[in-house]
Amino acid sequence: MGNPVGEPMRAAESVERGITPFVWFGVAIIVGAAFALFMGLSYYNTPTFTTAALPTIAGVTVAVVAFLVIGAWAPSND
Amino acid sequence: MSTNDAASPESAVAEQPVPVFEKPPAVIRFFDATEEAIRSRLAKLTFFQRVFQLDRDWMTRITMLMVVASVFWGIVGAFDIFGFETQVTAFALGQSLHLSNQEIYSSLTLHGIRMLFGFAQQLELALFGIIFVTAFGLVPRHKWAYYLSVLLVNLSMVLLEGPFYLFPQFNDNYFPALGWYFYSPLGIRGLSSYIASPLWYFGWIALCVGVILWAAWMLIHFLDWWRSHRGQVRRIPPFALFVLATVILIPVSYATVLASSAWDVFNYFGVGPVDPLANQVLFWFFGHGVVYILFLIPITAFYFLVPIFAKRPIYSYRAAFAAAVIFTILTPLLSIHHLYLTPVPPWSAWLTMALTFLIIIPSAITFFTIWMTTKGVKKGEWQWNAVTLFLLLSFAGTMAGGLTGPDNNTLAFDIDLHNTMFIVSHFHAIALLSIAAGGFAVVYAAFPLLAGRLWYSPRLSQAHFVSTAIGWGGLVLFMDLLGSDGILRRSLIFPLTNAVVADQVWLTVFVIVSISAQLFFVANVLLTLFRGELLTVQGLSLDEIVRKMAQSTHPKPSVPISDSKFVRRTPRSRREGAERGWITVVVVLIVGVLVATSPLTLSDSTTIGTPSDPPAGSEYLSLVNYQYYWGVQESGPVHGSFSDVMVVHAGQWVAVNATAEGATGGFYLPFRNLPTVDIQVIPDAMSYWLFQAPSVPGVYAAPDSEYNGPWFGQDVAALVVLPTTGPSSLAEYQSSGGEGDIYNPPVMGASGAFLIVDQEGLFDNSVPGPTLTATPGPVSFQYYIPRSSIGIDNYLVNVTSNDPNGQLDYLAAHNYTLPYRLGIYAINTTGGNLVPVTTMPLRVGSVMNETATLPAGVYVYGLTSPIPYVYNPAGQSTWMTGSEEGEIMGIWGILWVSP
Repeated sequence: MGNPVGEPMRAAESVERGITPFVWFGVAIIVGAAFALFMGLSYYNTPTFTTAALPTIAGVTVAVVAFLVIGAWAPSND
Repeated sequence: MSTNDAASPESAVAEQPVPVFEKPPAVIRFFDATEEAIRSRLAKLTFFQRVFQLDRDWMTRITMLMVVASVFWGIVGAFDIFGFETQVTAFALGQSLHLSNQEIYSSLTLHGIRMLFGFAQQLELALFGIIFVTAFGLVPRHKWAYYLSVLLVNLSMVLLEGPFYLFPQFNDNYFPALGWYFYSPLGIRGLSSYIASPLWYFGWIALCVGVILWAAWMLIHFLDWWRSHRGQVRRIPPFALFVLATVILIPVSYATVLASSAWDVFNYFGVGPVDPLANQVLFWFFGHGVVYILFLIPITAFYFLVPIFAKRPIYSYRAAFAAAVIFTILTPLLSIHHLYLTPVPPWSAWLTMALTFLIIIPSAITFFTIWMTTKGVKKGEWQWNAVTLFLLLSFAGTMAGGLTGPDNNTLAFDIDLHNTMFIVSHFHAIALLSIAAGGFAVVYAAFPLLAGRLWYSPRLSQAHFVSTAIGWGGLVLFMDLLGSDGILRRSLIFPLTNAVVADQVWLTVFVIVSISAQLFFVANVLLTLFRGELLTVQGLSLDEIVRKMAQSTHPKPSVPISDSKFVRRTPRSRREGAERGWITVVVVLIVGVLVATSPLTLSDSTTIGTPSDPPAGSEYLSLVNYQYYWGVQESGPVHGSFSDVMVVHAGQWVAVNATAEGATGGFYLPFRNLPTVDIQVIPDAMSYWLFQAPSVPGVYAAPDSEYNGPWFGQDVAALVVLPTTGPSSLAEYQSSGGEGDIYNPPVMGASGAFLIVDQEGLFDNSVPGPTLTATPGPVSFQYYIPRSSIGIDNYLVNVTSNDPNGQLDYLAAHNYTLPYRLGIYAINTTGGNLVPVTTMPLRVGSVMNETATLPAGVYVYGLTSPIPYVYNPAGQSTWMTGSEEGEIMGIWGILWVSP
């Protein structure tokens, strides 16, 4: 706690490691979307689930998959 | 203009020079002189000088004042929810409640008010104001208009808190218990059993005026900038588009709540008629708009910060522009989706559903654009400091909360979700994981600029992020699990099943974790103010300053803060092609979902809004919600008038028409194995529903699904489903778990039953009380009302006094006997009312034996008609402080006698 801040860069620490922010944000999408789908699907045992809820949940699921696929396919921001 | 073009903060926040030929008015000179006198004195005290930045320009000073005020309201709001959740958990664990119902629900109301408007929105206004001024290089003007806006916003928080007595006896029981929003006429004198102080409505008006004034201030400055830069600026920075959207949406949204609040004030003082339905629609233009106004915090944060840390422009400016425009146009149009269960015209429900699906488009554009902005950023070019970590959390949180929005928006699904903790989970996923996380990203990126110092402790910021993410994630998860359990929102009284109790306890644990996590943040802020390294910004662009400030939240900064030259290689057409492809998919999916869900939506909304044509042999229920109990008038195979009891036959069609006398209520039959019945019931309007009763005879609970005052938890009716022919036992009912609804009262044998009244005035923490079963012949069971159950929440002893022992004194003076009779009553299904079989005086502190010889049939036991109650602590209720009275029916249940 209380480390000095704003100190000069150390060259050794600028070595690239870990995964890119694009991938991390992709993981965030998956985690968040999974949570949302879990919330909707937790009502699976309601009697009108198939007609009332499933079309919407299916639409959201397809959208998330399309989001990830198109994002992976799209040209980079270079 | 890019963010790099911005003027330095020093020049941006310089005091406005006053032309020598133009003296400000005397009143302004007086304010200036007074402020200067106070400032110069307080500045001598290091604490005030540092915390309020008293040696800085006025824009920095007022922004710090707003930040400090917002943190203050945030802390108070956190204590509010701590009070509420610990009391609810105490109920779950069978412990004593130390707060009255009034205080508990006030905690919830004030939690919402303080968090949304005192904390989040005030922080938004503060940050958007300073960022706008700084990024655009503006010289702020109209200081006292800005001060007045801040004063009104904070004054409104005080007014909304309600009055309290200092003498002759200190009394702070008159906090409002309305909900962060309120359904007119709840709280209005002469129209509602629960009456809020008029300060509540004045508070809303002050809030409206204050926030609209802020938006006007922003708009004037933007127009100044626009006029002075006309022809020189090719593009407004993407983040500024969303700041502008906020500035536009505030007056549009707040104008409606200003109108509905003014209408309420007129009604409060008996001027003019009230139209609760129109008032609710008007209010929800604001109620929806304000959520999007706050949602623009993370959106602005993404557009502002992600390009800075990615060191490259946004993926597609035109996409961002389109998103801002669509957000701004659609947001004010969606109020009806909060009113799907009210009797609004079916076309308006369907149209709002379609428009609400359309508002997915700007969100879809935004999150695709932001994500794509990071594509191509190399591993070593990005640093995970507190700013970017909170951006990541906000990104995931918006997915979690935002993608549950379509569930709510599907009207047919909304019937299952609308009044449960699912909504609370959805809302908090947005409010915390999306909005507040985005807000913290902005705070970590901007606070050093206000403080003039870099963040003191990277470790504290890391601890803050980790503990906050855990606390908020757990909190949202267990709210959702409570929703899946079937628990209504705002429930203080609920079924004490193992799953519900466990989920409630875990929810409280994560609330405590969430609150505790903010101590790391507060400690870091204080340490930064007093020990942080001075921030120097000479020669740095705005982007570099932001990176430098954010870098101070990383223990081992490794990414240079300097701007790097960016050469665009991917042509715009390819990037926009990807955007178009994504939006095409979204539009196709929206159309598909709309087509699939429309028939049921139109059918359900038509059912709510218009009387149906029920099949022959249906039972007709005419219901009136008297705020805390239901008046039931039946015709059809069963005739009669009852309170809180509805009698139908197994499998019979039931046509309901319902209205309210008093506040808006909700008729809710949460069958889990049959389609849920959930309609709002509004004064001066009629709601309808047609449903088929369960095929299994039993006792099905019908809690009031709409919060309508501090005793709404006691407001639970019962649908008694009789066998079609002859007596029937409850064996099948019990084996199927009461058709799956946990609200159904527990079933126990009458023989040996010993029903104890709790401090809420209920039998065995359940309303209706346990369903007792017996065989024909002699039936016997016992009641007991302990003296320890008598208190401010036990409506049975209707005595208010300055003396805290007044209720027990009253009992002693009346031989511990109350003026009511407990009994067993036969349900007469062929006309009339309940027929008494046996009754006895209601006594406190002695065991009462109920004995009768009964033929097969269904009976109601206990106190079977509502009794009047007045909540008037210390006898200080007046129309100015607020008051509470009503009729409540809590100690009753069904006795089922069958072979």
